Amino acid sequence: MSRILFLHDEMLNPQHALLLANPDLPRVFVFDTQQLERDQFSLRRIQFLADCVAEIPGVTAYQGVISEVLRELGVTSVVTQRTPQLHVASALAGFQVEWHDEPSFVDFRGRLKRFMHFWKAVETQLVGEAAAGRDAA
Amino acid sequence: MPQPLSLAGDRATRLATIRAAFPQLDGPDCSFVGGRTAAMARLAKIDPVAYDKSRNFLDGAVTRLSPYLRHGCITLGEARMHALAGWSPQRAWKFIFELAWRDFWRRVWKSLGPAIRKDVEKPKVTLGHAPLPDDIRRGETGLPCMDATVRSLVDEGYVHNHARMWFAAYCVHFRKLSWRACADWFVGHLIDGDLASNHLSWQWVASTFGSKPYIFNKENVAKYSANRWCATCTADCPFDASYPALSKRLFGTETP
Repeated sequence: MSRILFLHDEMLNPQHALLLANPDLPRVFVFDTQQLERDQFSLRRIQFLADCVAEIPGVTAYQGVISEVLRELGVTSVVTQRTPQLHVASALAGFQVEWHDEPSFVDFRGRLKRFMHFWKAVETQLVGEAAAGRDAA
Repeated sequence: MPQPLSLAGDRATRLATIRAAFPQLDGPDCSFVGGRTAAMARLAKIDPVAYDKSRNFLDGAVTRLSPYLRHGCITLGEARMHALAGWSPQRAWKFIFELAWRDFWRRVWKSLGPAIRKDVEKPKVTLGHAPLPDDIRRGETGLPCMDATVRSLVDEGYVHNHARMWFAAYCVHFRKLSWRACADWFVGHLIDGDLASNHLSWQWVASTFGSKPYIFNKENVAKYSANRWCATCTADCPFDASYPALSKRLFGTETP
């Protein structure tokens, strides 16, 4: 199992593009004990994750520290979705990682400051010209 | 070799497997069923028009899609397309507006990185830095509206958005607690918890990611909760005042 599709907790979807594009890669999810403890995850949150993972065909779930689990599995190369969750990038730092962008909701390349500025820039893309311009209040 | 954790079989067995795998954690089982199937069933039931009219009321037509969006079971784009397939853009406007909030928070998180756990901006009022006290953690403040929020958080892992804002304002402005300490504890319980929506919302309430602090009063709670607590509440209510009076008491000025 040198190359895997690593599923983290933002891509728990059996229709995910990376699953469809890589049907032959082993699929691995890790209940990351370090992160779950550090981020004070409740039992219910972990159970919800388990429901999500169970629905994905062919995925093997482990419990432990991500980097240690992958090393013990003989993983050297990982395909996964880009995430701002720092612990995912840190856990995968010792592996060759092929990062893929998450699905884009809207095209925006401006400066992020206040939401209403963002909304005014993307509103027409999201609702069309006829509906744009409504008072948000 | 690490041993796989078997999640196959019926849901009751799966929940028990997780409970056994994490014996240090306790509490009731998760009432939200995870996964895309449950997400699509919930999406099929949304009513953007009712959502628009009633989303701020605790018994309003909120979608409860956030746990599924958080975990990628469905995407923001799918939710938007579903709304536009069933309703005109005018009728789906508010629902899509709120989806855009999620996208905005996430973009800000990507931009900030780990700094999301620090003040994004200088606070517009003086903030406290007290740690999270046990009466908050246990839901024993003596204020029925706040204690109910903690029970909802801890027992269900879900809190209505308006109640989240009230609770954050209570902790940050009325109790002068560290927003960071509160946000870190809060997010761990939320089934939909992510640093983007949670921590930036706490910062918005605190005024470290917004132009002014968010506060609320008793009239607001009574209105949007259908008077579920206030009608029988005997507590010495810290929220029973006008906004200028509360602002003066909390921040020393009627218009922070």
